[in-house]
Amino acid sequence: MEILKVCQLTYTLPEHDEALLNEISFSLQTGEFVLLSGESGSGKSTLLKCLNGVIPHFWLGEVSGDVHLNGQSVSLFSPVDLMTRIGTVWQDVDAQVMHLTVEDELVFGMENLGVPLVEMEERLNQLKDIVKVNLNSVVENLSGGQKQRLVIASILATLPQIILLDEPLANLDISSALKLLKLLKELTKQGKTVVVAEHRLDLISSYADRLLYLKNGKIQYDWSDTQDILAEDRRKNLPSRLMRKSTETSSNLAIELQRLTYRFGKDPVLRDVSLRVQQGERLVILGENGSGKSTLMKVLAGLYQGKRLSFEVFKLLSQPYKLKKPSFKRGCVGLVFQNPNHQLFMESVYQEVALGAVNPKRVDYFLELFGLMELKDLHPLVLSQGQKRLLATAAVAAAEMPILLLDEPTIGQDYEHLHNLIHVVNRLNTEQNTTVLTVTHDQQAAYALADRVIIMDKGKIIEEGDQDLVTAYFKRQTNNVGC
Amino acid sequence: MQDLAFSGVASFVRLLHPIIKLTTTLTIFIYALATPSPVALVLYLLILWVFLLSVGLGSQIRGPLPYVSGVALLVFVLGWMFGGMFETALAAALRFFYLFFSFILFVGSTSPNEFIRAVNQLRLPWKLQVGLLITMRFIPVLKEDMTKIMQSFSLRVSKDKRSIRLMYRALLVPFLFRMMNLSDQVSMNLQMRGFGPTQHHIRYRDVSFSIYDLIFMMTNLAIMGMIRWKF
Repeated sequence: MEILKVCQLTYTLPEHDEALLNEISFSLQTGEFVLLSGESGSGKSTLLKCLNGVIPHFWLGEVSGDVHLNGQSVSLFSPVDLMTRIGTVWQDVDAQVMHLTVEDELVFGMENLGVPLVEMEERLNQLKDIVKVNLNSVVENLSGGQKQRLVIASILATLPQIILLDEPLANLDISSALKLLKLLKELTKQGKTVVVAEHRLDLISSYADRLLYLKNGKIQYDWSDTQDILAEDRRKNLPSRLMRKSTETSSNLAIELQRLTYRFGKDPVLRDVSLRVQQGERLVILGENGSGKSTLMKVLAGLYQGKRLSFEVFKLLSQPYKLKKPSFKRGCVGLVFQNPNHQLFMESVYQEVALGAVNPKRVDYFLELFGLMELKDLHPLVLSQGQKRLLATAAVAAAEMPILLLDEPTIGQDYEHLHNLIHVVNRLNTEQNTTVLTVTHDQQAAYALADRVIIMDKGKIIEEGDQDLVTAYFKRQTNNVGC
Repeated sequence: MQDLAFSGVASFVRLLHPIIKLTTTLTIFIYALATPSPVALVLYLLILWVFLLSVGLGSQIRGPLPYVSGVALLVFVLGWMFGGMFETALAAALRFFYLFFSFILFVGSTSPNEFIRAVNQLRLPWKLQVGLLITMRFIPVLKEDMTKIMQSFSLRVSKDKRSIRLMYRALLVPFLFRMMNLSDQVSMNLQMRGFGPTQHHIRYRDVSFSIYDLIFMMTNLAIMGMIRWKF
């Protein structure tokens, strides 16, 4: 049965000539699992905003054509009425989390819709398995991935007819991602319609019934064959490079940690972490959400210090680490954060790269290297998410620190941007002997960026190995979910 | 299953009725406005500070405190330079700390949902509830963003390159960008979760007054009265 119909939909932002969406038409059936894919800036998020009524209810702009929900134009529904029928999980989870505790977040929508208490209790019990944290947990203490699971669960709690998800897998570990996809698939069997805008086709293709591929605001492909969807997945062609195996000597260690512990609240987030990384080595850190990967990055960058941090040995480039002396003073660690919006603040792309550049004459070299030369006069905040991430990495790389930390570099990246980023990071590693530590949930990115792999769980390093461990880890995670 | 709940005594303040916490917050600020003596202001401020630290809200204070101190110092210097009265300038500066601490007492220990349940029971108008919710959500998100921006700034800009102009840019640009989006996003997200004029009044937990609310409020008023009486 047809539940949603899009007719000749065109949307143009105010004071813009070029349409973001151009005469888009399609319909969605009850119980369909639709994958919306396409390059960054192709109009995926804008289309989701048209489907759930954010456009025209909240966003201005010129809209022609229409979207019909159950045969009625979405413009005739009140925003609350419409949005309780169509649940949406946005990319920016921080802005979507409203409450102080996990339980409050989960029950908020149900309370507003007047769900009876007994049913609320039942749904809470079902959702516990998705959020995987105690219901009394404070939201501020959750990791990025845990917050994402919470937002998804709180939307599912209100049982909408249609569920729209904008890059829901971005922050999730493989097991949580597969569990979510499995859950979404089960929901489609119960008659829900699911639309997922996502780049990680490798994970999602076997669940989706249909692929809508957008390019320049138009639907380029509308495929119902999983093989076609898999064929479109170019991520498997990411530029992998042969592993380097260096002989370990104590003199060329970039990072040396022994029994490092970091506490956040009652429990340690990092427990007795011991790690040795050679100069010029590429280390990939894998692990579930909340396992302490990002915390380890921040400790290495000198951002987390004080009484919460204890260790027997903590050396960067064979120099003992000194508390209250963040590593930037010695200029040895550069960290690219998960969200590039926090990292960009200059007036142009050029100035952004020039800000931290050790050698001002090499700014152009880094702009060329990262493919940003054509954008050098633009304001950083007008760039797409993928371009912003490249710029944030370029700005950190220009400081030419011997150790480069990348926290989830694949988030929100389409194939072109990710390919470019991996290529450049590997070049920096080869040409400048930069030590690269990458936290990722993306299997292909892990292959492309690893000489060595460690797996973290509950703040500990539980396994160490080469690229084969990537295969084993992802296989194990997939099997655990029963896929 | 991971437990990232409030630790120790912090749960005590959490259990207080949100309306009592809001009333106390307003009482503290009224006390600050109505008290001209810097000694009385400093004394109560110290008591409030110790209380906030003892109930586990120290981590909420630590991050923004340098900025609040900066603004308070500016107010003090300008007040003293142009007003010429040391005591008046000091009192004005101290009031910034009152505003900050009282806000932390309320926002740092009250879940927006608890607050909504409480004001719902009082049948406050829906539009007022939305406004209060957006205000409550604003501060924690901006605090979190500010921390991330500062971390990024400290890593990207070496000490010799730091200047007030650059600091201003680094803080203001991402901050303004975020602020412009946030109120729209929060208001939109509230409606997307069914929060509207026709919402139902089924509450998962009832918020009710307890004897601790009375003790807390009376103790606070008694301390304020004692200090005002002595100074």
